[in-house]
Amino acid sequence: MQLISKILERLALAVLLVGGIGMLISMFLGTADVIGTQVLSQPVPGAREITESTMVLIVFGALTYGQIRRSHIRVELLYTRLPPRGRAALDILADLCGLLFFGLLLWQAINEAEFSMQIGEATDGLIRFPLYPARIILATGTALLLVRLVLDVVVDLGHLIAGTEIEQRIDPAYADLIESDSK
Amino acid sequence: EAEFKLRWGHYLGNSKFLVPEQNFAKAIEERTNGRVTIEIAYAGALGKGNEILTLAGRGAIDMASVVPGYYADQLRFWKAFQIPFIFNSSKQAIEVSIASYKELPMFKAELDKMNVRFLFHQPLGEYYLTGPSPDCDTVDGLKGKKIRSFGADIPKAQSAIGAVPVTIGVGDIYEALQRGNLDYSFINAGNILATKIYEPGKYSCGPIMSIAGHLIVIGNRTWDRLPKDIQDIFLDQAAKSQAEYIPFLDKVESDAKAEIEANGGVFKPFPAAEMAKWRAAAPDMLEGWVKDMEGKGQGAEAAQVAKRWRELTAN
Amino acid sequence: MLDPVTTGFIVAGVLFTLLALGVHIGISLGLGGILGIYLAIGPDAAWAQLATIPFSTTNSFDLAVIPLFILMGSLATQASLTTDLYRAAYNWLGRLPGGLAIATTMASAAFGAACGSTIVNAAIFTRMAMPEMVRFGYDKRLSAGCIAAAGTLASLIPPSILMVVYAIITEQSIAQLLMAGLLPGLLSAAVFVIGIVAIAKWRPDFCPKPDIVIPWKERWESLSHVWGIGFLFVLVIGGIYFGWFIPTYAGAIGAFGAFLIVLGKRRLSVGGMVDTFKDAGTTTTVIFIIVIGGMLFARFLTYTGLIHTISDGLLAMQLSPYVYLLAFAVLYLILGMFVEPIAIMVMTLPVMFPILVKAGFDPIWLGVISVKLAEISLLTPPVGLNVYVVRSSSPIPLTLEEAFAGVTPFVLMDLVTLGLLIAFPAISLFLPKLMAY
Ligand code: NA
Ligand code: NA
Repeated sequence: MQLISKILERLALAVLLVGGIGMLISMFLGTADVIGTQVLSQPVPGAREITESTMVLIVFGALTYGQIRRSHIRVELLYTRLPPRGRAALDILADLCGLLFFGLLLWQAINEAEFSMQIGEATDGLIRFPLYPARIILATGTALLLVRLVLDVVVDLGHLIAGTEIEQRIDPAYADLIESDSK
Repeated sequence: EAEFKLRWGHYLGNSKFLVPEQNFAKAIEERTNGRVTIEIAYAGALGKGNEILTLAGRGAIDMASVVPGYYADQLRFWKAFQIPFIFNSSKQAIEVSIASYKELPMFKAELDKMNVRFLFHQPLGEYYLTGPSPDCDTVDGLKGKKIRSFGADIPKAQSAIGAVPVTIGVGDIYEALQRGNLDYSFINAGNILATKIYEPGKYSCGPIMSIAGHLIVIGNRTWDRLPKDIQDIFLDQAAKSQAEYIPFLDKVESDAKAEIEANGGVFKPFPAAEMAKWRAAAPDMLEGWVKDMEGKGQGAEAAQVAKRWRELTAN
Repeated sequence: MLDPVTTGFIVAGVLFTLLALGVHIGISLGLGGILGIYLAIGPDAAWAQLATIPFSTTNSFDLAVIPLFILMGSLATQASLTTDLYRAAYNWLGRLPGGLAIATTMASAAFGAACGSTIVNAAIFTRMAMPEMVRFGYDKRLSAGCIAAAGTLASLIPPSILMVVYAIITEQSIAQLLMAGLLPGLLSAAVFVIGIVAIAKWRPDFCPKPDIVIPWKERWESLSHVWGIGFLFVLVIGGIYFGWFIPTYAGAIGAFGAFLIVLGKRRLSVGGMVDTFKDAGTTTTVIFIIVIGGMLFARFLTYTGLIHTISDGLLAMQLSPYVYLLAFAVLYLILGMFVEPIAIMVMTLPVMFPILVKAGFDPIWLGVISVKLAEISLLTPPVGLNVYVVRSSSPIPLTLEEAFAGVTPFVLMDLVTLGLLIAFPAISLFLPKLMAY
C-alpha cells in the first residue's frame, strides 16, 4: 500500500513535469510564431495545435499530483469546525464523489479515445495534427487519478476508524505555496 | 404542450444570416400544428462547433448545424464542399450538394456512421480579397502579399501564386489589416460588412471562391421517434428551405455590397482571365482530395464523386 | 423525464449539500450538471455531454492563456522580481506616513503586471513584507490586512486569470477585458495608499516612522533592479494594447520574457523549474476542473431553459438597472463568504450576465465590476482566501481574527473604489474603447 502510494506519487510528479516541459515548449513556440508571423512573414506551422494538445497534458497530467497535494478547492465552512473523525468522514465523501465523477468521465473518455484512434482524428489545417494522443492523455490522466482516489478512501477510512488527523489542511487550495513558504 | 420538443445546437451566434434556418424551425412548428417545437440554442450553448455532431449522433441534442471542417476525419466527403476552385458560384455548390446526396450513397453513409441524417446545406457568400491597396485584381499583384486563410486547401491555392497565407479568425481581420499584419482579407460580403473591414480595406476584388457552408442535420434517434407524417413534413420542408436559402443569401450579399459601397468601399471585379491564370497555377484541388482519400482506402469512391462533380460543374 | 423546475430544485439541493459538505467545487458542479441533464433530458444526453466537454474545454487555444500567465508569474517569482520591487519601494517610500504599508501596496501592484493570481501575490509579500513591517513596530493586524488587500490588485492589473475566466464564460474579448482592468487596478492601489495615509495620521502608533535613513545612492541602486517588471509590462500590456499579438501569445511572450529575466539574473535551476512546474500545473488543473464542472452545469441550465425563465421573470419586474446590479453585487458578496472567485463566476454568470446586459450594462465594464467584487470576496470572512493565505504563510504568529480585523479598513476602501467604478464607467472603458475599432 505504502509502496503503491510512493510509486503513484513519483508517477504523478513525472507526468506533471512532462506537462511543465510542454508548457515551456508552448511558450517558445508561441514566441517564435509571433516573431515569425510579424517579422519574418513565416508563421511556425503547428504552433497552435501543439499548444492545444499541451493544454490537455497540463490539466489532466497534473490532476493526480493536485489530488495528492489535496489542492482541489472546497468550501471549508463546516469542514474546519468538525473533529478529526467528522473531517475524515467528509474526506471520504469527497473522495467518493470524485470517484463517481471521474469514473464516469473516464468511461466516456475511453470511448472517445478509441473512436479517435480508429478514424485517425486530426485537425483540419495546413498541418494535419493528430488529436488522438491528447485524447489518450486525457483518459490516462483520469485513470491515474482514480487509482489515487481509491488509495485516499482507504487512508481516510483508517483515519475515520482511528480518529486521527491526516495532515494539516488549513488551506488545501494552495497547500503547495504555503509549504514552500514555510521552508 | 408539444409532443416533440426538439433542441437544435448551433455553433454560431444569433444573426440575420440564419433567418432561413429559423424559418425552417417555424415552418415545422406550423405545419405540424404545434406537435413539434424546435428551439435553437445559439453560440455553442449546447455544444461548441467541435462537439455538436457527436452530441446530435448520441441523442444529447436533436438537431445541429455542423461545419464539416470541424469533423475532417468523420465527414471526409462532405468536407470536399469546402475545397476552393471547384464551384463557380454559391448556387452551383448547393446544386452539386443536392445532386450528390441524391445520386451518390457515400454522403448519406458517412452521416449514418455518425448516427445523423442530412436535412439541408447552408450556402456561403462568395469570397472577396479586401485590403487598402487596389491592386487585388491581378495574380501578379497578389505575389508576396499576406492573405487571410483557413483550412487545409485554401493555403495551397494562395501559395500557388506566391501569396503568403495567414490563418486568422474573422474577428481578428480588422486589426490585422489596420496594422498591416495582413494585406488582404478573404471573406464574403456579408462578413465584410459585419466586421466593417471596408474601413481599413477600401478595395474588395472578386468574387474569388465559392464553397458551401455548414450542414443542418437531425439525429437518427430523434428521427426514428418521429411518426412518418412528421418525417415527411421535415423532408419536404428541408427541400423548401434549401431552395429558399440561395435567393436569401444572394439578397443578403448584394445588400451588403450596396451598403459597403455606400460607406466608401469599392468593389473591383477579378477578371476572368486572371481567375483562369490563378486556377492554372494552383494544383488540382479535387484531384488532391482524391489522392488523400486513396490513402484512407476510399480512393475509388472519391474518384466517383470527383468524376460526377466535374460533369456537374463543367458548364 | 422531469420538468425543468422540479429538476432545478433537486439539482440545487444536491449541489448545495455537496458544497456544504466540502466536496470539491468542480466535482460538485459537474455532478450537479450531469444529474440535472440525466433527469431533465435523459442518460444519453448526460453521458454525451460528459464525453465532449472535458476535451473541448482543455484542447483550447484561447484557454491556453491561463497556464501561460501562471507560468509567467511563477518564473517572475523564481527571478526574485518581488524582492527587487519590494526593496526599491521600501527605499523610496518607507519614510512616508504609513510608508512600509504604502511600499507593500505599490510593490504588490507592480508585481501584478507579471502575475495573474492574487493568492501568489499575497503569499509572497507576506513572507517578505510581514517581518519587515513588524520589525519596525507596525501593527501586525494592519500589516496583514494591507498585504492581503494589496495582493488582490493582481486580478485587475493585467495579466489576470479572473478576467480570462470571465471573458471565456461571457464570450467577450479577452484582450479588451485585460486592458479594462489596468486603470481600475491603479485606482484601487491609489485608494489604498490614501487610506493608509489616513490611518497613519489617525493612529501614528500603528505605523511608526522607521528611524533609519536610506542613502540616495542605495535608493537609485535599488531602482536599477526593477527594469525586469518594466520590461514585462511593456511586453505584455503594450503587446495586447497595440495588438501585436493575441492574448494567448501575450501569455507565451510574457512567460518567455520572465524566462529571459530568470536567465539574465542567473537564477535558472532545475529545482526552481520543478517548483515552477508544480505550482503552475496544480494551479491550472484546479482552475480547469472548476471550469469543466461549471460547463456541465451551464449546459444543464441551457437544456432546461431555466436561464430564460429566471431572467425573463426578473426583467419583467422592470426594476431600475441598478437594482439588478445591486442584486448581483449582494449575491456575489454572499457567495463570496463561502466560495472562491472562479467558482462564483462559473456559478453566477450564466444566469446573471444576460440579465445585466439586457438591463443595459456594458459587458466589459461588468467584467471589471465582477473582478472587483471577487477581490472583495477574497477578503471577507468566513472564507477569504487571501486572508487565509496571509495568516498561514505569516512567519509571525497571527490569528485569523486578527487578520480579518486588519483587512476590514481595506474592504471599506475597496467599497469606495467599487462606488467610483460604478459611478464612472469610463475608468474601466477608456482603454478598451481606445484600442477597439
Ligand atoms: Na495581474
Ligand atoms: Na469571502
